Amino acid sequence: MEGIQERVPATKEWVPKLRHAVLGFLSAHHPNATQVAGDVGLAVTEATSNVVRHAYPGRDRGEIRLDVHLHGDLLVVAVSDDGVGFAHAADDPGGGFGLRLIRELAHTQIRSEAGRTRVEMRFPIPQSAVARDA
Amino acid sequence: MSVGEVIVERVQGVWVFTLRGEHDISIEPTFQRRLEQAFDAGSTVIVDLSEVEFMDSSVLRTLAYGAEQAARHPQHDIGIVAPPDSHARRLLAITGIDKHISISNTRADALAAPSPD
Repeated sequence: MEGIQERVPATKEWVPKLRHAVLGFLSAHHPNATQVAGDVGLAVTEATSNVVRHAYPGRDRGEIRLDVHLHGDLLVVAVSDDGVGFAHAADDPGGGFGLRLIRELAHTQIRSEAGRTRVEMRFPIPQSAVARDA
Repeated sequence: MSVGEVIVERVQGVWVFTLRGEHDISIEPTFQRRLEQAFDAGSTVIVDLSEVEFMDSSVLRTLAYGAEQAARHPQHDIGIVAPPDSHARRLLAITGIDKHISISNTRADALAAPSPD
């Protein structure tokens, strides 16, 4: 299945790069999906930023894993890490805006335990924006 | 990809922060540091989001910090410029920040708004 799979260091410099990789993938397949692109870009940014901020406290930086694919008219984006998990993460210094935004922008499923966290986000592509094969 | 920048100007006795480009964790904590410096002087700040290309919760956190400082210290005040149908306005509504900071449609409206006593 065509898509994106990235394994990158969990450093802040990678957050915009991953955002643009996902938006580039979306644009290549559905160039008219401009409205959902805003939601996708923000949700991906929040999820990857959470890994940078919280997944690996007090230890050498680990990885961010990004997996992106299209499932029919659904864009599926998963951000995962091998960090401490939500139960042990430091409090979000900003009062939880990141997760609130992700849940508002996407159909979200989060699985987290010590050693593994996966945030899966699903974005319906509006019918008016779906690119059909000629 | 255009890296985010914060343009700071003094306009009619008010500090105006204009955010341009893309603002996320990669350029933190530029915006918050500049805001703290303005508040150290005891001042009114307007944050203009009308030209921002992208912003995430790092900006929202700083705005929430500004609102908190303004609520605690009467010599501080903060307002936001965000056009009605903009991405920024939508984020302010989702997070509830729009209930704690005045939001104007244009910079002119923000500058014309009354200052605290």
